[in-house]
Amino acid sequence: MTGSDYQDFDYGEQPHQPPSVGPDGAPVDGAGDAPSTTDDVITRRRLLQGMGAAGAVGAGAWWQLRGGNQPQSAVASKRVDTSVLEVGANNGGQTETLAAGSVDDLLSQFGVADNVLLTPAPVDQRVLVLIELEGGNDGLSTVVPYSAGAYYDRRPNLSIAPESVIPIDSEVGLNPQLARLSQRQVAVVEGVGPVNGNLSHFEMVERWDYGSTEGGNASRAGFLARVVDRIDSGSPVTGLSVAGHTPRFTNASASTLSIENLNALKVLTNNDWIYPIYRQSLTSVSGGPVANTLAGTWNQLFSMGRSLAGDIERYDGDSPIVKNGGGLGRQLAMAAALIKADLGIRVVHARMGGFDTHDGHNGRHERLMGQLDGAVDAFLQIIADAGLADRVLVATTSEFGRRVSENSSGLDHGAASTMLLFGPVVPGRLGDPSPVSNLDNRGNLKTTIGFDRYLASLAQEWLGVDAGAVLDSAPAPISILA
Amino acid sequence: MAQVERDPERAAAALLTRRTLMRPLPSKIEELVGVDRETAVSGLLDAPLDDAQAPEAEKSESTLTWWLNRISENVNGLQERMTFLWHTLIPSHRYAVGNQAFVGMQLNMIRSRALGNFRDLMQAFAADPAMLKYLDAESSTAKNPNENLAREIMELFTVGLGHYSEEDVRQAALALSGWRVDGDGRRAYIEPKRAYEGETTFFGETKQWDTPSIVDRLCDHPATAAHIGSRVWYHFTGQYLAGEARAELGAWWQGQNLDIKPLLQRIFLDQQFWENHYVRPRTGFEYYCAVQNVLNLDPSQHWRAKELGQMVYEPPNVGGWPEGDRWLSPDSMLRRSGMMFSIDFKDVPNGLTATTEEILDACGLYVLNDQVISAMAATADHVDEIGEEGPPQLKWRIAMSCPEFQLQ
Repeated sequence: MTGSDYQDFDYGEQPHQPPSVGPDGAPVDGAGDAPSTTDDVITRRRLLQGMGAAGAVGAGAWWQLRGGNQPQSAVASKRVDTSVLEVGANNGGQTETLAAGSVDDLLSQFGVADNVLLTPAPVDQRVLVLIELEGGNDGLSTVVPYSAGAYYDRRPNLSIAPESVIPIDSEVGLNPQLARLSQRQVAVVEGVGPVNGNLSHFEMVERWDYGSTEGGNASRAGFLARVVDRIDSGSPVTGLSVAGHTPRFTNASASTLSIENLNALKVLTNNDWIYPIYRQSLTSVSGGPVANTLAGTWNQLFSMGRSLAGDIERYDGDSPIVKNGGGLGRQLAMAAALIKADLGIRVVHARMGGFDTHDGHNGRHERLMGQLDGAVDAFLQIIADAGLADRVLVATTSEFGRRVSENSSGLDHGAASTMLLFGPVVPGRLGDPSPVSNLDNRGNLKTTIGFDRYLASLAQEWLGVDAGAVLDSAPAPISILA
Repeated sequence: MAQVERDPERAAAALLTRRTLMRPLPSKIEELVGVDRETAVSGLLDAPLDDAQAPEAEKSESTLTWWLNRISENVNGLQERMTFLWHTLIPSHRYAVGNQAFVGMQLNMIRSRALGNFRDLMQAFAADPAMLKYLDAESSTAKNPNENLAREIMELFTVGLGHYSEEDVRQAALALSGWRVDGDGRRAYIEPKRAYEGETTFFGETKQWDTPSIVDRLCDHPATAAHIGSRVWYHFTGQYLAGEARAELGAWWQGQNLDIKPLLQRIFLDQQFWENHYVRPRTGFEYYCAVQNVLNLDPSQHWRAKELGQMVYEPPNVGGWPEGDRWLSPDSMLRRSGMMFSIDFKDVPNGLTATTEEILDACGLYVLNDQVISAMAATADHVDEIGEEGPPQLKWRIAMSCPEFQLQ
């Protein structure tokens, strides 16, 4: 399917339809039809405004709303001035459902929100969803330098052909499996990697977990723990792990919830006889401050269970997010349900394994990208349908990238990689590309943006938490927000 | 809603048992019924120590299973509780001690001193291979002193923040340098050529300081007695002492030469100890032990303690586990109710036949909310849905999930 199946989402102004895909991921009947009248009018107006500003209309992926045909400069800290946004030309036929000149078709490409670009909600409403790509994700297969001869020279078997990539600009493009996501507001952050790192999963994961460039963290709080403690407002759940236990929340004082299966809440959501009995016994108070706190906790859990009941059912079965997104889809479905339940969640940690592609890289990575695409796209759709699109930023992390040169069928541990951001971000290329032609002495991409700077950007730019307060290296954030 | 005291004498005995033993067996409660406080407390303090030795096994798994079995055996429940408390106050992580046999060695060290003297205990910790390894003592040499050990001993284990300067940390790090931990030889020793030989100035005194004299000096400091004494106080009463009360307790304990038994006696006989039935949350491990006690679970099921967020010898960091309301978080409650619903009561003695009264007795719940009792009673109305064996199972779950059972 192409990204245009998700053309008609709206960034959060009014309630919206669920994703218009069937269990097999194909569009259901009518999904490609013209939007409803209301949407139609609003979107036409927006589109025409956009056309007026741009003076030219084409179609393409999101980043082409910025900068027209100009190749994107890769300099960090670029902010988009929405007054000069223009609609770029068709990007070489990637999203070709469009017949130029037909407004309805144009709508189907640009059925998007008010100011064309999704901009962030007030800082105290924002949610950060981190997806850890465990094992070391190959940045070059995620965002492909399709114009770099050195890339094809070093990877005779494991490269992605120029005609397959979804171009971002004349230099790089997205993995073809990220077709759905390419239709969303996405930024890629190049050159993110370890600082004085080595090639150990364990050590590099630990540094990401603790936000430390040095390692040796046995007595410290996790990076996300420090973040949630800075923004703690006493809500029932400030930090959520849908990936099970994570050291990133270690030692948080703010309330964090680690849950691997929404079914754990079922005992609380049961509507039959067990519910009132269990609830009655658990929320009773025997007096004293501790018992009161405890009764409060149980009350929160029961309210949470109640408000989640529908979602638990909805994401249990053949929903697209689980169907297309695999294990990550299940995690993000839980995250979506819990975010929607209004518990005060501000930080979510999800995890997807399998990126340690020492062998069989091509097929494995392709499947992983496809799942990432299915899971995150459906997640963003649920979030958008709930009117929360401007509140949620999805960001990937991975302990390191992979070797530029291939071994026989796979790629060994590397250094810098490319991270992906979805949500109200500056679309296009952020960070500082690490050229394939200038590698470190192990043949790995050099880090141009220390992972701590990347984390600093997420904490400070998105969540408004001073980077110096949560990262010992006090790195300078890069600008990422629209 | 009202708090019901089912049986005042047993309620008092249950309070003492719950707070002082790791395994609050119903039979222990029965022993204490009608016994006055002084006699009951003396009985606890004078009980002979269990001198069984933990295996110093290279897989700490078997060492810890052994300990959980000892806790379950309950030969001297107060000794086990104090071992647990000292471990939580001065923790080591089993995967960060080099040779895991050091876990068994440390456990034996703590168990034999748990009710002895704090200075003696602290001296033993300062020469304990597991702790030295855990706190990077080995990487501290005269040339490149590592401050970790010196800082944590002062900040966490003795005087506490605010009672030393950064210069004291630097000087103490020099004085504590030179440790070697020999995994094969299973010992820790000072290697003279790595140790600092000169004089250092610590707490204003310049002399040839070494590890024992540093620890001694710290234990002489009144702040140590106040700091450690008040943490023990919290463990048993759920109350944080502050200001004068804290200082007074410290000065008094200092006068007792930091002997542990008089401190416990004072706490157990204080009005604050007896005032309220439920004063602080059971930590993850305490909850695990409480459930284990009621259901007689196989002690090798200690993975359940890990699921509840507190596996011994796996602390989150050198500061130990968080205290207080953290254990009442949604996460914690979900894990606990999840554990309740994962237990098959068919395997439990009387699991499918016990009455409400029997279940509450087994759980040591002599004071509780009447809502809990009526909720348990209401299960009987649902035999149609869950069959004859359903109500008792649900009653067990309710009893071990109810607020009172979550608390000490």
